[in-house]
Order: sequence, then structure tokens, then C-alpha cells
Amino acid sequence: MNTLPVAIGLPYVPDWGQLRAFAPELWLIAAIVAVLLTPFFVKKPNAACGWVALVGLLAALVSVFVVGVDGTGEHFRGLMVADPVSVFWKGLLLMFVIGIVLMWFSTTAPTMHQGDGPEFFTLLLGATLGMSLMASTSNLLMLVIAVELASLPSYVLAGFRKTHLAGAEASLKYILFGAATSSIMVYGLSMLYGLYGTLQIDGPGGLAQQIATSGGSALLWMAIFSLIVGLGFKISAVPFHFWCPDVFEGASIEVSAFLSVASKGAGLVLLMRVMMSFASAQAYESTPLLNHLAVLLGVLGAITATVGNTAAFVQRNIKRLLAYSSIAHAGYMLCIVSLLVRGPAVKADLDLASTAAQVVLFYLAVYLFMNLGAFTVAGLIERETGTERIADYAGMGRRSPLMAFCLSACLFSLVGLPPFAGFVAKVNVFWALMQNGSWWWWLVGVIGVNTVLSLYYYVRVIKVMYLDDSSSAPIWPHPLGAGVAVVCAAILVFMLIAFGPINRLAGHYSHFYGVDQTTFTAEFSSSQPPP
Amino acid sequence: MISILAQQAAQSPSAWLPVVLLIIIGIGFAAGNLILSILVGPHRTGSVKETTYESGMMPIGDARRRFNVRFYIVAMIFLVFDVEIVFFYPWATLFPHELATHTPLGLQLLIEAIVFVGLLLVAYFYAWGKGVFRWD
Amino acid sequence: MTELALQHYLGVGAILFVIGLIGFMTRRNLIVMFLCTELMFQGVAINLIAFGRYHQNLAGQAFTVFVLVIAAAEASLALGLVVLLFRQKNTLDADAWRELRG
Repeated sequence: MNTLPVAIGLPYVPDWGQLRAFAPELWLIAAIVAVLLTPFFVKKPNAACGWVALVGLLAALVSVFVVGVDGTGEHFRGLMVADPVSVFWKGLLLMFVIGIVLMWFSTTAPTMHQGDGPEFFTLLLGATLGMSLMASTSNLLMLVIAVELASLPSYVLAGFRKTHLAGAEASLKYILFGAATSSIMVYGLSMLYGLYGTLQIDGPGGLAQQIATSGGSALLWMAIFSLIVGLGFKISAVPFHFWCPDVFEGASIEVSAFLSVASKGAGLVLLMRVMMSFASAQAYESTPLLNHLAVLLGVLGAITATVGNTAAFVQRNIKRLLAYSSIAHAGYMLCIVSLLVRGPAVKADLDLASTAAQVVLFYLAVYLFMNLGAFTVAGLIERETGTERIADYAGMGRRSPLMAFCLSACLFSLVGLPPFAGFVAKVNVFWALMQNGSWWWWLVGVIGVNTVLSLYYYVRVIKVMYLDDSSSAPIWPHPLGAGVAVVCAAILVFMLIAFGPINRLAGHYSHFYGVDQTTFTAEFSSSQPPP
Repeated sequence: MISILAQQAAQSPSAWLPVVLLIIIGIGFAAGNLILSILVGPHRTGSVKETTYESGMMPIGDARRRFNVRFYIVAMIFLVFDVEIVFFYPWATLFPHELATHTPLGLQLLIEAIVFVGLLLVAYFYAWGKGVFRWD
Repeated sequence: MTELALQHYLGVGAILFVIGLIGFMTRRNLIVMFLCTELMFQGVAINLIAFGRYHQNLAGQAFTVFVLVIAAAEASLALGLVVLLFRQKNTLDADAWRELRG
């Protein structure tokens, strides 16, 4: 007799109070359904689908503000959490994707084959859904589903320009690497499940707690490595970054912009959540496991930043340049993530760890607008002149002063120069690393050298635009796209001026559920009406 | 599975009833279709009808030739919808029990399944509207 | 004849996974490469089922259902892409696509 002696679990039906915290995701699902049904009612569905997607995204964004942080924490029997960090990320992500849709209207929309719109927006919204779920997973199963939900549509989006040879090749490389890394990640996670018998990350009896009591083992390290392989692919950390420049060059520009921020940000938020759970379960003690993890992430970040910056030197294509720049920025943020799990800290307490989370959240907010602005300008110029080569930007300061100015603003901000918010984001990074002292001084040095290196290739673009002259005709960019670019540049200046309040806001939202539960329930549940 | 059934059958032979019913339906469906097509279908023969049936392909020639791309599209659609069925198995193990004990939960489970199938249907209708199932 | 224990199942899972991984890295035919990633996913599925039985809970089986669906979705995407690529270059050799460099 060989029956499985386990009780079949009670079926679970979420009530409205549970679903309410995930209203943004529900709006995204509704928008996907609406986009799929649009071609049945409209003759030329491309633009209509764009508007439907825009309305759905706006509704989701409004619902983020209306629902806010849910003080009850775990949802769906611990599969997901709706904590401050995830809410902050969802707000950023939805704002960013609205920008992407506007960018689509002003760059790719006229050339897209009529009838492809529904598929494009289904995929875009599907990937957005996966990326917002990635921020609120607290279970290995949900982690894998969210990562795949974000990856699979991205593969197709990368090769969406069917007639482009480069697009198909980019998509091929992306899906090959992606399938291999995700299967490695799932294999490692199965080992984690085998070691501890649960898929739950936080909470009593969860993985983090069991790891804290049992200490490290070879299998555990294998599992952690495989998790870093899977998430490193999404973040494009260095040994797994090969897809990034190729995909950015092969895909159409709004897809490149989408992947440059959304994919990396979601991966980073998820990595932060997992690392924070590990560290808090071990009470931020200087355990060997945490020490090694911190060194691993720090070194990974330093290598990623250095490789990204040095490879950017020789690029002649603006999309490839921005791809390597985004790899470098992912490296900076990875360095900060290493602070979350730092072992031999000067002051081993929660405050510094959540300061690190705050730094990453602020950096992501700034990075979003820098990249959106830079990609929008590149897309507008590509639409008008059909070129992606940096050399063809010659005389842009005369041909289109507004575009040249917006691109310069975004590039200065990417370097981290003062009149723009990139400066405070960079200063934040240095400050957080220096506060921890010890070997983090090395990271300070590496990032400092990298910043100087990056100055060269960013300024080279600006030099081509303003100092090299050409006799080409002036450009009149699409007003909508020009508006997006100007708004991005303005926000970058505004975020420098309003640095204090925005940084406090990021600090307010830099709490993870299950880590400092008492803090955030005290802060957030009081302001919420009881469900 | 069979051994559990056998054990139950020792106590009450009627436990075999679902299995017997399944066998009868299976045989009946196959036999019924054959008989029905013999009785109802038109009887015309021709050179095309005499050839070996090979899923709509011409059975003569090199086996390594390229298939029509529509085969792949239909195969992919089939693969995706077929795999979704897997989610019904856990659902189906819980549903009858809940339906028998407390009704509100049973109704909610039914609604959950309907939402799931509804979402799949939207995708199906989209593929239909896109002309994926048209063969010419 | 000994009973089948956990390590036997894990062994099969690991062998499947490693065959897939090595095949992925050494073969250059696109369809074979995708088949190898499928093989890796199947190794994971065996692992999960074995662990689920070992820990006496259903989490492993639930995970397996989702892993299968993910593998199928990835396969259908990949096959679609392979058809698209084959139409352009008339070959399945992965090395034929090397436009993007640098």
C-alpha cells in the first residue's frame, strides 16, 4: 500500500480584503484582457490598444496610491506580501511604463504593422505584471512564477520587429541564455526546498530562519549561487550580461528602455528582499554565511560596474552605449545591496540595512527618469533621421536644441554631475558605503574610478552634439515624445532641489515585511481603514 | 490508484462503477463514431481517398521535406492549451469534496475555475480572430 | 534488492540536469539546444517530486505543476522563434547568427 500520507490541504479562496492589496495587479490583468478584446471592436487596433493600455496603467497607478501599504502583511497564505518596498516599486514601475507607452506613441507607433498592437501591449503589460509581482514574492514558487512571467514576454518583445534580422538574433540570444539560467535557478531552488522542506522564505519555520539555525552547507551555497545566476541574469550582472547590449540594439527603442529599467529594478528589489530575509533571520550578526554573501555581492557589483564602463568606451551605437551604461548602473546598485547583508559592520543593526534599501530605492527612482529621458531622445532622433550612430548626432545642438539639451541633461545625470538628481543618487551611494567602513572602502574606490571613466564616454556624446558640426537639416521631433523628454529632464532637476523630501519618502518605504514587522505595522496600519 | 480501488472494492463492489463507466464510454465513443460514419457518411471513392492517411500530408516522397508552417502554429497552440489542463487536476481533487461538505466554498471554487477558463477563452478567441485556425 | 531511496531519485534528476547543461553548452543546433533546456527542467521536476515525497508535503508537487507549465511556455516560444529564424537563414546552426558584436 503506497499512498501519500499527507492531508490534502484545505482549498483556499481569497476574500476581497486579501485581493484589495493587489489591486494594481488586478487592473493590469483587466487591461490585458481589454487589449486582447480590442481588435474585435476596432478596425485599426494599434493606437486603440495603446490607449486601452494607457488607461489600464493609469488605473493601476491610481490604485497604488488609493490602496497604499496594507498593514496586514502576508497574503494568499504567505505566497505574497504587500509591504512598503513593493508598493514603492509598483508606483515607480507603473509610472515608468506609462512613460514607455507615451514613448511608443511618439517613436514606433507609425511604423508598427497594423494588427501587431494588441500583441505588443499584451506582452508589455504581461511583463509589467510579472515585474510588479517580483517585488512582492515571499515564496519560492511565487518567485519562479513572477520571474518567468517577467521573462517570457520580454523574450518576445526583444524580437518583436519581425523583419529585422538583428531583432531575431537578439531574441534568440536572450531566450537561450534566459532558458538556461532560469532552469539553473529552479534547480537550485529545488535543492533549497529539499534541504528545508518548505517554500516559504520568511516567517517561523521559513527558509531564512532554518538557514540561520542550521548554518551553511555546500548544498546551500549551490542553491544561493543558482539564485544569483537567475537574478543576475535579470539584473545583467557581469558573467550573465551578454544578452543586454545585443537585445538593446536589436529590439525597438521603447522595448530597450523598458528592459533597461524595469527588468533590472525588479531583479534588484527581489534580490534585496531575499537577502534582507537572510540577514534579519540571523539578526545581522557577523556570521560566515552573511560575510561571504556580502563579499560575493560586493565583488559582483564592482566587476559589473567596471566591465560595463570599460566596454562602453568603444561603442558607436547609442543604444549599445546606453546598454553598457545600464550594466554599470546595475553594478553600483549591486554594491549597495551588499550592504544589506554586511557581516562585520561597525554598527550591526537594522537602521543601516534599511538605509541601504533606501539608497537603492532612491537610486532606482532617479535612474528611471534618466534612462527614460535618454532613450526617448534617442528614439525621437532615430525616427526622424533613421540612425542610431553617435557620429550622426553631429550638430544636434543646432539642429534640435531642445533634444540636445534633454539628452545632455540625462547624460550628465547618468555621470552624477551636480545640477541633476544623478548627483545626489551617487553621493548617497558613496555615503552609504563609507559609513560601513572596512573593506567597503575598496568599493568606494572602484565606484569613484568608474565614475571618472564614465565621464569620458557620456561627455563624448555631448561633445559630438555641440562641437562637431554638420550640414544636416534641423529636426522637429514628435511633440509627445519631446514632452516626455522635457518632463524627464525637469524631474531630474526637481529631484535635486527636493532631495530631502523624496529621500525621506524612499526611507519611509524602505521596510520589508517579515524583517522589521513591528516598525511598519505601527507606521502603516494606523493610517489604513480596517478592511 | 488501482490498489486503493481494489481495497475499496473488497468492501463495496460499486466502487468500481466509475471505472466501468469510463471503459464503456471510451469503447462506446470509438465504436459509435465508426458505426455512425459508416451509416451516415457518403460513400464516394477516388484516387485521393484511396491513399494512406498521413495527417493531411502527401505520403509519397522524401520524408525529410519541410512541413507547412501551419503545423507548427497549431502544435504550439495545442501545447499551451493542453498544458493548462494540468491546473485542473489539483482543483478537481478538492472540488467534489468541498461541494459535498460546505457549499459556499464549493461555489467560490467553481467561480475560480470559471475565471481561469474565461481568461483562457479570451486568448483562444484572440487566436481565432487572428486566423490561426484557418488552413488555406 | 534494496528499496528506492531519495538519493536514487536525486541521482536521476541530477543526471538529467547535467546532460541538459552539457548538451546546451556543446551543441550548436538550435532545436537541440532548446531540447537540452527542457531536459534541465525535467531534472528539476524529478528533484521536486522526490523532495516532496521525502518531506511529506505537497509543496513539491505544486511546484512541479508550475515548472511543467513554464517549460511548455518556453518551448512554444522557442519553437516559434526557431521557425522565424529558419525562414531567414535556412539553417539551424546557432553560429550563423552573429550580426550583433562588440
